Amino acid sequence: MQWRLPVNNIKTFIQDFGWPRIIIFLFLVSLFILAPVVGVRLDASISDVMNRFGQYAILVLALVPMIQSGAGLNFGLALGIVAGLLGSTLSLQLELRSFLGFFGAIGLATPFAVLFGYFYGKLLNKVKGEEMTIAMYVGFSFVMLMCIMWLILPYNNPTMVWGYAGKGLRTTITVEGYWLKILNNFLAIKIGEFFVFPTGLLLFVALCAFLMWVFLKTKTGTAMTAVGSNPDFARASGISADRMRLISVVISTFLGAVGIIVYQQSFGFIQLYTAPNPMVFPAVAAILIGGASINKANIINVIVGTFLFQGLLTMTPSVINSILQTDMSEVIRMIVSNGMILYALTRKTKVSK
Amino acid sequence: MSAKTNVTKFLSEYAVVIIFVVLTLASIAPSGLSIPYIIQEVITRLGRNSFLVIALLLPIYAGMGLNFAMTLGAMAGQIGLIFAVDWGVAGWQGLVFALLVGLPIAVLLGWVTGSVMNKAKGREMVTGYILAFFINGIYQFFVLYLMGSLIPMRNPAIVLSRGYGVRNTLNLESVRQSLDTLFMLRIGPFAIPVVTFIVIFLLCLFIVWFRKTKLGQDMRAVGQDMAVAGAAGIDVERTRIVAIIISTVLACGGQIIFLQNMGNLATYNAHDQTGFFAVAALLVGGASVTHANIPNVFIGVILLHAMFIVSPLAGQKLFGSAMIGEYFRQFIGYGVIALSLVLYAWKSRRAAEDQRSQLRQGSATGGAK
Amino acid sequence: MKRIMIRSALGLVYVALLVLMLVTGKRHTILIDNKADPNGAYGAINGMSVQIDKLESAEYYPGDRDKAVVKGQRHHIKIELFDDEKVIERDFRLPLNQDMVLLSVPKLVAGIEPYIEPFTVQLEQAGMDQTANQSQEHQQFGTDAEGLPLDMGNPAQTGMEQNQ
Repeated sequence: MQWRLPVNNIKTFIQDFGWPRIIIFLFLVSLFILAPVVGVRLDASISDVMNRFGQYAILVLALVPMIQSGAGLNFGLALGIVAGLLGSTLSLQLELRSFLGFFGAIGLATPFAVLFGYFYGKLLNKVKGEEMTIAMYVGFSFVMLMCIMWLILPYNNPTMVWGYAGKGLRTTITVEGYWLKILNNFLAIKIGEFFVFPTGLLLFVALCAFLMWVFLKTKTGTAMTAVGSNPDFARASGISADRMRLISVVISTFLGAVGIIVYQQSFGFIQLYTAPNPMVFPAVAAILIGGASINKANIINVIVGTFLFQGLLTMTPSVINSILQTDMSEVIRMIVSNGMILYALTRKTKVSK
Repeated sequence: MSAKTNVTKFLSEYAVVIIFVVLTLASIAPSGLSIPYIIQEVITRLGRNSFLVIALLLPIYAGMGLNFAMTLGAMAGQIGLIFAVDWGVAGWQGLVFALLVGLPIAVLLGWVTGSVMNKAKGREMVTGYILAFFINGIYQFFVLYLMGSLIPMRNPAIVLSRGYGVRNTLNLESVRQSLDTLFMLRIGPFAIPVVTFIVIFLLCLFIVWFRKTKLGQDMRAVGQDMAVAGAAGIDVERTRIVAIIISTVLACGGQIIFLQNMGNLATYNAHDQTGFFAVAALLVGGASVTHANIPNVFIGVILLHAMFIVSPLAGQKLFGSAMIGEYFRQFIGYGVIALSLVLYAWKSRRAAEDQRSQLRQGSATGGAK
Repeated sequence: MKRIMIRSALGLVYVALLVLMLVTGKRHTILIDNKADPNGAYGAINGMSVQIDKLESAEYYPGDRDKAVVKGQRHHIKIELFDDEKVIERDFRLPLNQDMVLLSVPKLVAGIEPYIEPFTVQLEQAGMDQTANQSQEHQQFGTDAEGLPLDMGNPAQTGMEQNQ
């Protein structure tokens, strides 16, 4: 991408970036401009968008390995999310607090993530070509299985279980008092009453993105990419496609676990039972909006996509609600988020930066 | 082929059916339900759901996979029913009225679906799935905000007290069971809604006849190989859209039949599970993403719903909690779809690999894909 | 040209069917009234049995009012007066866009036309309309007393309904 003025370069930039993303970006900007006009606080909005960006970014990042290795969009991200839920609930059960609690959650989630990822990866290797729909239903049924588990596993921390019987986890568990906003508030910059810059959160996201970038440049990382973009060349070079795919699935599941823990510390609640399901599609939408294709994705896709998707999802309801003076946020959210996913699905799979 | 391979082949062919039969039979005793009750329930559900499942056949035929966007047709049918209740049209006339009102909506939505799917070739199933949620958002907007305000409703009783938007439960008492009771045959302890089954039978005849028409043959060609069909002069894009339009219209009718049997309409979520149940039934009946026929429909509906009738109560008694029983039922439901898809994908990969290894060994194969 | 003809013919059939269904299927509620005229033009009937179409007949005494729910426009009323054993039968038509009408039997018997007049439901009389009754039970639902849906659903927000 060049920033010099000559028209040719602007044209190439637009082509590279893609008209659709430019349109969404302009729409988002116009919402920001419109916001103060209709009575929505701009500083609160920007703070909101940054928060949501940080919350979701790692979940979107989790999709990159599998796309690169040719295993498609990870609709089975729910498995990684469940691993993360196990980690965070265990962290609360063990009364781990502050940074120990947060990193402890990640640590506790890791063995589960690796385990789930391993079996899930093996399954996907057997069904090359139909991964997406199968992943969806494997994810759904696993979440249902976990619903049963959440009811019968022997947790007993009183903040987590139902009051009456003392058995079975609640649907929503607060992390307040444990590690609420531990990342967000780390080195946070607060300006005025409504604006908080979640420094820690964004630093952590940057760290993960950096690690992913480094990984993709390593020998394993490049082998993974080769399997996804040029399988014949990879096979000729002696790279085992199955092994690379398996590694990508495990990494993806692990990042899914990390992602949901990051989300929880920012959002403030651990959401169990059927909550993992609706978290997957927004992540997929974000990366597609960011310009990724079914078999090529990079960090820029993640950042741009998450920002655009979450930005739109935050701004549209608040601005429209102010204009129309009714609370239509749910309906708007449904239309906007699914509309964006649809839009991304119907684009030609061209590789764009 | 050794006997062991034969057994494994048989098991993998019919794994899903076997699992369902075993689970259902095992759950009958703990559920505490009597056999006549179960049989009657299955008869009722056959009448109620079969039409919706048949709506899935043509898109599979045309190579577009499982039409999760059939939910759009269901929404069209629901809007039709809302108007039928609003205008006070009762009985079977109400149902036909609802169908007529929903028809143009279903055709329009089907056309949208087909066009969108044409832009996402190879990803039709996921696209249809998301499209259903997207249009659901528009449906909610339409029914919750526009109806009663921009779109005048005659009957104030079905409007929310704030003045616009439809109430979230609509009593369909005016059309309740009007198709079923047109001629209810009673044999022993069982009641069979004859007219409903006649309608379903006519639909099956339609499907069989349609397959023989030129359009039907075109769809089959498109389903087998889009490039070859295109080269043969078939308008691939249009054929695919027509397949989806028919599917959506059938879903519209199917949902009306479904709701008249249920007797009330959960305005905002009645259609949520429509796609899932229809797809699950079809897959359980032995269909795959590329092949489905009419026996799959009925076998699937019987198996799926028989299990769904007995397992919640069985789960409740076995696990001691209704919630666990309910989760277990859903787990099995989704798991079975996943299993069917996995088995199907595994089978087709095995077939492709077998072919490749045979070619490599230099043996003379027929070459047909 | 032929295509346009076929399409418009189909369109006409569609509209015709719609109207047909509406006319034959529309439900009306007939409020059968046995009240005297406040101005004294006619008196209430001392006792009678009234039957609409093939529905169950009901007994009416002065001041009574009951209802009959019917489908379609053309109907038949049969009145049997207890006092003088007279039987009066009449055919009548209901206006299409009136959901509810008031049929005053005293007027009919006294020969005063028209004996059917439109009746609009006041929403306080919730007992009149079945649907209103039913819906009010479901008023309290989820987060909103209006009955706005609990969870408008996100992709894959699934949960199989028990009654499926």
